[in-house]
Amino acid sequence: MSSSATTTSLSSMATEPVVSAEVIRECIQSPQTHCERQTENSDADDIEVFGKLVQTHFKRVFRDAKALNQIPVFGRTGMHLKPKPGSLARFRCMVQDPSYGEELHLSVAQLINTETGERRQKFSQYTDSGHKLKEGWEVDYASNGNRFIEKEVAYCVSVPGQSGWAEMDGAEGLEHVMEALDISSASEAPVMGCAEKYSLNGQTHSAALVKFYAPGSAPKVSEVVDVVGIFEIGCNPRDEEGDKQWPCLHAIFHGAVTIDNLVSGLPVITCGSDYVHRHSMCLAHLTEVLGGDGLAAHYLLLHLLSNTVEVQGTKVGKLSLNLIGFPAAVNKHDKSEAKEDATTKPVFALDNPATKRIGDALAQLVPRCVEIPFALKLLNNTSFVPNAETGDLRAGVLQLAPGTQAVCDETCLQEGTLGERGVRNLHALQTAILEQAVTYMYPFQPIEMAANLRILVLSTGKSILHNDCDLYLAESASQLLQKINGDDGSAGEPKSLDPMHSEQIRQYLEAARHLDFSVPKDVSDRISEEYAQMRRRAHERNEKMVSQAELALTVTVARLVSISKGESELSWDSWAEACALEASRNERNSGFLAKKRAAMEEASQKQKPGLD
Amino acid sequence: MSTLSAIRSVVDYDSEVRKISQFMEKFVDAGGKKQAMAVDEAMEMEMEMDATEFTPGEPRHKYMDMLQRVANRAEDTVEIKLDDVRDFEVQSSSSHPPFTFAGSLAFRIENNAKCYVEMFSRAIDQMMPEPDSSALQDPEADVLDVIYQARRDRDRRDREAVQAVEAAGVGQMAAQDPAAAAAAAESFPAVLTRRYTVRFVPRAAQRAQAVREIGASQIGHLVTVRGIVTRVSDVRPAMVVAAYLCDACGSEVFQEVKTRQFTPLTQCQSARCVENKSRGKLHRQTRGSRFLRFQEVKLQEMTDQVPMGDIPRTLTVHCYEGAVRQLNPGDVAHVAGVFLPQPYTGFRAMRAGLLADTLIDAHHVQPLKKRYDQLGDELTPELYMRLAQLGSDPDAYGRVARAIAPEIFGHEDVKKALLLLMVGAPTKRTRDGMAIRGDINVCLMGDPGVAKSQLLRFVAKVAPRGVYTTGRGSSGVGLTAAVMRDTVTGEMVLEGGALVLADNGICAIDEFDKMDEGDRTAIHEVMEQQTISISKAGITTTLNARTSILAAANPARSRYNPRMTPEENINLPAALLSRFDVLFLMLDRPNHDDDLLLARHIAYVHAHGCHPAPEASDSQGPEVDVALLKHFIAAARARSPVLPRAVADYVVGAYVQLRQQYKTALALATSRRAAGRSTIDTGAAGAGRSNVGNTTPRTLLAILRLAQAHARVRAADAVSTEDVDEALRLMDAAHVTLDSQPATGAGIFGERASRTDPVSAIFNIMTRQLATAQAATGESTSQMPQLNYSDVLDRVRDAGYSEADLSRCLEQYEGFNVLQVNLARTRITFVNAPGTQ
Repeated sequence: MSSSATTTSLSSMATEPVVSAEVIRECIQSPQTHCERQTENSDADDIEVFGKLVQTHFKRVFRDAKALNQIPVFGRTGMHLKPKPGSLARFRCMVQDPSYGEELHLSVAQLINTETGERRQKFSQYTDSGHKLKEGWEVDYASNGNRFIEKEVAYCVSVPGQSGWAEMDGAEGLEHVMEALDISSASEAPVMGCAEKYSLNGQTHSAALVKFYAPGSAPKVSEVVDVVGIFEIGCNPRDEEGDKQWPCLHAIFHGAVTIDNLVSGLPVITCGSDYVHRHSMCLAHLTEVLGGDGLAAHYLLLHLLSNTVEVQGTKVGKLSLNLIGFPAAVNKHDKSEAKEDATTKPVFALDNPATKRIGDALAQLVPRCVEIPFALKLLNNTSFVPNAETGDLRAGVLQLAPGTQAVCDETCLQEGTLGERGVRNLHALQTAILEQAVTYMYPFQPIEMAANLRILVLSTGKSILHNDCDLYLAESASQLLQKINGDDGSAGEPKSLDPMHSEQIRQYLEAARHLDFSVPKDVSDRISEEYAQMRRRAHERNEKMVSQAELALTVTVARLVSISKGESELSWDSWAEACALEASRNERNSGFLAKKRAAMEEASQKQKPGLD
Repeated sequence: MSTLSAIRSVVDYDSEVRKISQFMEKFVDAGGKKQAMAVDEAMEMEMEMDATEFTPGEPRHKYMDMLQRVANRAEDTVEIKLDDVRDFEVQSSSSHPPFTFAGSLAFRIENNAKCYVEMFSRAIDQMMPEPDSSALQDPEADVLDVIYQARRDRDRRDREAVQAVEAAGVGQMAAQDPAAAAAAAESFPAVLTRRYTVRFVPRAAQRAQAVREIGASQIGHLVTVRGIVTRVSDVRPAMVVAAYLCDACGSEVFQEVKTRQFTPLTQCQSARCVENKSRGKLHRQTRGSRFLRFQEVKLQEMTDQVPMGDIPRTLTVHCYEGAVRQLNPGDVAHVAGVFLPQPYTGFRAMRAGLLADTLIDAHHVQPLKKRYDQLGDELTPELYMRLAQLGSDPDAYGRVARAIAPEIFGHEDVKKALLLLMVGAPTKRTRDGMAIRGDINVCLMGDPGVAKSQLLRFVAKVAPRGVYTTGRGSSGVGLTAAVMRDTVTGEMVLEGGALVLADNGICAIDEFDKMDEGDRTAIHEVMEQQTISISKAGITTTLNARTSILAAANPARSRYNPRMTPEENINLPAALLSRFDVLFLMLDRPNHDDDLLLARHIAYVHAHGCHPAPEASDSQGPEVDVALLKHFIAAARARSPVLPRAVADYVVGAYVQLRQQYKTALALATSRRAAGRSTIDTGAAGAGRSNVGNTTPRTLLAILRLAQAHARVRAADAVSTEDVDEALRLMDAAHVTLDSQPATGAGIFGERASRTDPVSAIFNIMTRQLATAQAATGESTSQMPQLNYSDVLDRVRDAGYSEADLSRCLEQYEGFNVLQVNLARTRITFVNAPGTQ
């Protein structure tokens, strides 16, 4: 419609390759006026065109990281200053509830000058407040030219389980910049959102209402996005009293968070040798963390690489892992009791130094890592599945962003009564593990949502949950962990990684996870033939036959083995490697089981004479 | 706000009102034609209404009659059908400018409904007939009538006293109203005296939308939304006209309330008070005010309207008067109404100056029946085409069955049984009121890891009102029902468990063997009587649980042990087992071809992200996906095939034969036991029949049900012998898995060609062949049954065994004196065979 307008402003920018610091400053400081100035020059006569114009302009201004990093960050932990209403802000967030409400906004208003009778048209976007009009002008409500558009309101929270290194980074001394620009306010705006709308119930977090303008552009539930928009203090449409102030972000543009945003300094890895190098680096690190248990480290790495893909109803590529052999949590009885009195909130942090070691190590490597200790209190008192039966979508522990690592600590599970809620919670977790699906409890029609979580269960004995794959830790590893547990962690902090190396591993994990994968026809045929032969032989010898599930597991392992080496096609070598891994895992597991059985028999035999 | 929603183009109000009056006056309802159309549009509601109101073929002035009824206080809603408006326009404007919908009154109403409500009201006010004499002279007719009459009398007196000034007194209100002339003469606001509400019924052709499809562009339009009701508020009075009494001059002042909140008047503005400067205080009067029944309803999107990965949206619906109390939480409904913005009020209004919430002002509310097809996706023309195509396929039965849990390999007969379970047979009600269930119950028993749970989950997902539960995990409410104390009201409430929730659906129970004893007892009742009786905490009641049960169980000690008899392996009481129409045993046995296929499949899924293309044989026609499957089942369920006499006889014959077989098997088992089971390691073959696959009168009903379900799948209106054969075959296939332990599934139907124990498998082939031969000829006389050796050999070869296997088998059984082979090896004679005696 007004293509001329678009082209003029675009061409004016094209001639100006470097955005001046002045423009950036104005965009950050007073984006509304900047928008108005931008559009005054153009003759955009349609609100959609206007929106697009503003969007392309801002994207252009903040196209490089340096400019972007100057924008104040909303809701960053440890940040004392908050963006000032009316200025530009950034928010890395998870969409907790994308249907928080649809609002209509009078975005095209026909103005009339009460004195002269002159008419004008005014656009209004990226704000909730009324038009600020010059003297003598008022909105002509009877005009046909007024147009409402809807904005989609999403309730967004800071990403649950976000690792410290994956937080939005600001430029050096962003706080100084903010102060200098006078775009910070120390006012106590309620940054902390509703407790029940955050997955990790009761943890500190930030929440904001993010309003998306372009129709259909709003991200889906549980997605993680970086939003750049105009910060404002508004009100909550669901808040009946309506007297609480809420931070609002009027999104100008938003984008998904990719690994390139997170490890911006590194070149993209392309060639296979990079993969192989980093694979061994990562493996070495994990082996060190696991006290020299190479096999466990191997499986942990494969677990970290797993990524669920849905193929016509079958979930492929998931590998939930259960590591067995962690020492039970030391029952600090006096301490924990005192704690229970003090805090009523459940705690989503690992208490056991042995499991904490793993949790911390993983948090270093993955952008999102949630720790779920299986304390009875937590299981009984929180809800794991999101619930919307009250009309408002309340988050559950399992409402997590795709690709979140969940570390479940079973070592702190103690005898006691698991209430109905606890049973439901465990059931939900089990469903998440086996089917990668989380049920959102909507009234009369529970909705099953596909999830993409990596669930690692750390336990003393075999887990109460059924996992894809379980593995006993080697003696050496258990002993080390036992030692750590004994003397409060002073024994051996894992050697901290070189920052450069950890960056490289993070990048490697993310890149390998998203490799395409295929199985060539000849390999697939060979596998099939081998499988059928194996079953027949086993049946003839009256041994246990390989089941469909075991085959699927081996194929998954093979898939992960080959992507860990950066190969996107299954080679026979990788298949053999996967089979070898599986064989040694089974061997170790059965070894442990046999030992356990022997120990039990011994114990019972010892007991018998005692009884007599 | 009303100004914002209303005006789109310049409307000539007077001419529109004239047009409306014309329509109301002249519209003639041709009952017969209307009905035909209603059938066409499948608007059941409408059909019912028309049928009661009009006798077909007799033309009537529909709306004038309606107004008369309103005047007589027999009705309080004037329902304007937009179809009628359109029809009227089509009829009246056929000559000069050709009728276009975009230029019609109906179109304008649809796009500006709120405004046209007012215009219709105005038109109706003018033409409202006097009440019939018979109707009104009831002294207790209505309190309000009495009040209005008193007011009118007093006003007349007032007018006579102060003639000139009067108009100004009430003109306050009326001045804003374009219909001032009429209202002023009446001296009451029109809204106050209207004893009706005007509501529009959308055109039948208007599509029901999802909540997310309704946006700012539809403000003021009449829209139809489909959704599920999640919450309803109490019914409250909503004030539309507030009446005040002045304590100085005694005049009544009326204030029309158009928003949800209003500022009450405090000072009298009547002419007299203004003149005397008496500043009369106003007191609100409840009796003289007009209230509407009001209810707020939350409507949520249905699962099928929500795009993948999104969550449902909700919409607020305001119901007034007749629309109130039509909806209950949990109902699926079409709500037609005007989409309106609602400005924020109070504090929020100050903060958010340009924002508005949205709502629907309900005009027509229609709860949908919870029918099979209406719960699923809508039947699109494309789906319809595919359905028709599928129906014409001779192998529709097999293809649809294969579409059940496509990720699971093989198990074709199990899948066929599941298809029949989903389709079900019609429920019969005998003349004395006893119901015979049509729901088919299936039990799958098998080794762990044969994908039983996946099958169950799939069925529960596809079937509407399908509930998946595990026997062990259902704590809390459990399977049946529980009496709970409501936390809010403190009253006792009945909360339905899985079986009650699955009423008219399918209840899939996993880990059936690990179920609570109490629940299992309740299932006895559910499976035959289809009800659940509760007597707890003073509540004694019977709930309906007309549900098909699909159970999955593991054998005792979790794996099937071939060294034990089937009844030892199946740890369920016989009373429960006999209630299952079909019992399948799914065992994990190696099979080269299947294993190969399966492994290739797994590798394929990992590699390509899609299922392998179907084999060439079933590639004709489109692939059956879940949506198509649902519609196929829905279509099949709509039929109720009858059982012709001849087929009934056939069933009886088959049943008698089965009973015979059963009897023989019992005897055989006894004799076998006497002979010592250890001599033949496959002795279980006969013993298997003894308890598990026993034939009882329930079996007869099961055959009938399966046959009817199969006839439904075939889209036939009568059960044929072919259906019965398939039913028998399925039951047989289920039995095969039981009988031929440990040599599974003697490949009689080609599904599992086990190479492990050919001897008993071949013997089974022969027994079956014998049985079919007898059934075919209908003779089961005393003479010794014989089989043709070459026939047997063919069958044996079909099943994948060699002639050597056959001879070994014959040798063994000859030694056991069960059969004899003649010297020329052409004829096998059964000496002590099943089916004879």
